[in-house]
Amino acid sequence: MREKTAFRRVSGGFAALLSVIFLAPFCYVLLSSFWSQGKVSFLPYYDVFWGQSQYMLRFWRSLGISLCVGLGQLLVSVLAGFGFAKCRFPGRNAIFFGLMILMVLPVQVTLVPNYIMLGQLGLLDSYPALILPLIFAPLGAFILRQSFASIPDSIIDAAMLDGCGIPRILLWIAMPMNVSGLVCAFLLSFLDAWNMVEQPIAYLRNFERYPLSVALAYVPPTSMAIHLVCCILVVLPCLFLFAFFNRELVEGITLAEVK
Amino acid sequence: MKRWVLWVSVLAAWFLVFSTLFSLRVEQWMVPSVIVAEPRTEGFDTVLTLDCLFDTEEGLSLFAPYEGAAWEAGTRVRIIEPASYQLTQDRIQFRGSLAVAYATKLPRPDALVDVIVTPKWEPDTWLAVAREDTLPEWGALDRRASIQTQTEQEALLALEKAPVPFMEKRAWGMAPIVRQEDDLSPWADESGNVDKKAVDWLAVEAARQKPPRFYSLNDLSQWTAQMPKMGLGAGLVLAFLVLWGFSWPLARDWRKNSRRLAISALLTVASLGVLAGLLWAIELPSSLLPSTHIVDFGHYTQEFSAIFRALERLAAAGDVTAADAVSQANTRLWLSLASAAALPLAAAVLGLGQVLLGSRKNTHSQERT
Repeated sequence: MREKTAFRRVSGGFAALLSVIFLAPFCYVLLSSFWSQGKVSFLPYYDVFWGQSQYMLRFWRSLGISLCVGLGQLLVSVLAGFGFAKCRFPGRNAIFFGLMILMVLPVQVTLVPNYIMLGQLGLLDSYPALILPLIFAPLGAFILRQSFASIPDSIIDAAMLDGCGIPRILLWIAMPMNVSGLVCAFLLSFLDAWNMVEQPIAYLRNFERYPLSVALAYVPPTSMAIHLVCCILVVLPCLFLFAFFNRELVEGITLAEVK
Repeated sequence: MKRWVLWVSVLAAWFLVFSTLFSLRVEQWMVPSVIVAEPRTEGFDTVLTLDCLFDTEEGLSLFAPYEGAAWEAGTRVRIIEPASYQLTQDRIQFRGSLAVAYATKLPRPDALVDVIVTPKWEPDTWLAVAREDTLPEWGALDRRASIQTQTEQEALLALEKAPVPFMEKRAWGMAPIVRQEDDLSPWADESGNVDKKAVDWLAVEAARQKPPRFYSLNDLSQWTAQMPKMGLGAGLVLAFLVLWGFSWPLARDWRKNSRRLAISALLTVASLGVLAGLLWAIELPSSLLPSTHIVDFGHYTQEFSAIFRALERLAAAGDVTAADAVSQANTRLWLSLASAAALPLAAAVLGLGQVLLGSRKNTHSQERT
């Protein structure tokens, strides 16, 4: 009993320490963003939110790109994940293995082949150059394959016996039973697109098209506080998405539930 | 938890959309119009007139336009290093290509500017307000300008044709004051002789008597004409906040209150649409805006109290133009305050009605069950 209590205290202490380590930079950013020219000031917030339109326009541009990537990847991943989980076809496991290999490849490895392909398609220096390669990223398919696999086959069989086709099973049975998996796949792809840095630098030439994640590095070095307010602006969508979908995200990642 | 997050995210999303619309307009309003001057050749030197010096926080400065890149794309201005030019008694020896001569307001270093090539000319009335106790003596006025009314501290100048947009430094040129003799005693030797090459002309220029503050009554009238729209805009923002506040009790049982919440959501979206329309209808004169940020309320208090104090004194001295300007401004101010107060009040009544109606219906349905 005493050992258990001591273990709880130690693990609680580590959890608290970990939280402090992760929260400290965010707290620093938040507090320092109000500190400009040696005094507390809202001017950096004014400059970013109201003073110049390009910060906000870039924010919406990044949000648009990330939403397109998130929704596009969700569409592709739902079909691929359900196929891998519930449809039998020759080479299924081999293809899935190939997908897993793709998943562990760093972004930089696929950057050059993607650049060549996008160049041949005439899409370089355009938003589709950022959206298309990310729509076909394998992470969403992997997550959804795992979560669709947790749906008992008996439910699918019963639906088929009742005359349901695959599209109907997917739309009316598998997807509603797997909301956390869908939310998790959407969130991870959204965050992937929201935080992308290498792809815009490689595929875009025009600075006007750079999303906020990349343009942040080019903010004029006149005020550190403006940089920090930009960081707050970048964090906002992620913060709200996590606050709203935290349960689904955790459930989707654990993939342990049996339906 | 989710209800609370959704409630806060509605406010955040509204604020982000509003900020985007507002920043687009603020950026346009805050850009000063400038006229640039090319130095003229005089002997071996290229020179500019002393008009080109601006009184900034760092002292008298010369601005030059440049083309920015990346985040700083567009035509901007920077302060020229004092080592790049030299002041003489009545001119600036400058080796650069262009310098800002006039601006609608003091330019900010690295801020966007709108370069005007040829200004328009329209009839206007200028208000001159003394910086100290009395107005300095006028020099030779431009042929298009005449003094309409003058008291000890202020004067109204009627102009058949005045440059548009209004630039205070151009007004100083068209209605100059009599220049007093420079005090060069700090540079005089024991016998009282002054070696003009040794004089710090920047210090002399800074010590010279400043012309009075000038304001354009056309710009003032344009500003007051925007006040009802600004009031309406402020009212809409407050009305949204009130509706948003009242949506919290409704969101507690959002299934039952879905219709009322939909009305609030519709009004929220409509408020953004109307706000966008209002923002694009508002045209603020650059000469009356602060040089740093649009919400510098200290600037507005200082400028408008100086303007209206002067106009009231001129109206008391019998000037009809000044009296008209004051009464017009008063009417528009009340109109703007009324619209700023009416909309949040209406929103409060609507929100309260929705909450009361919602709770009554819920009680009825509970009684029935």
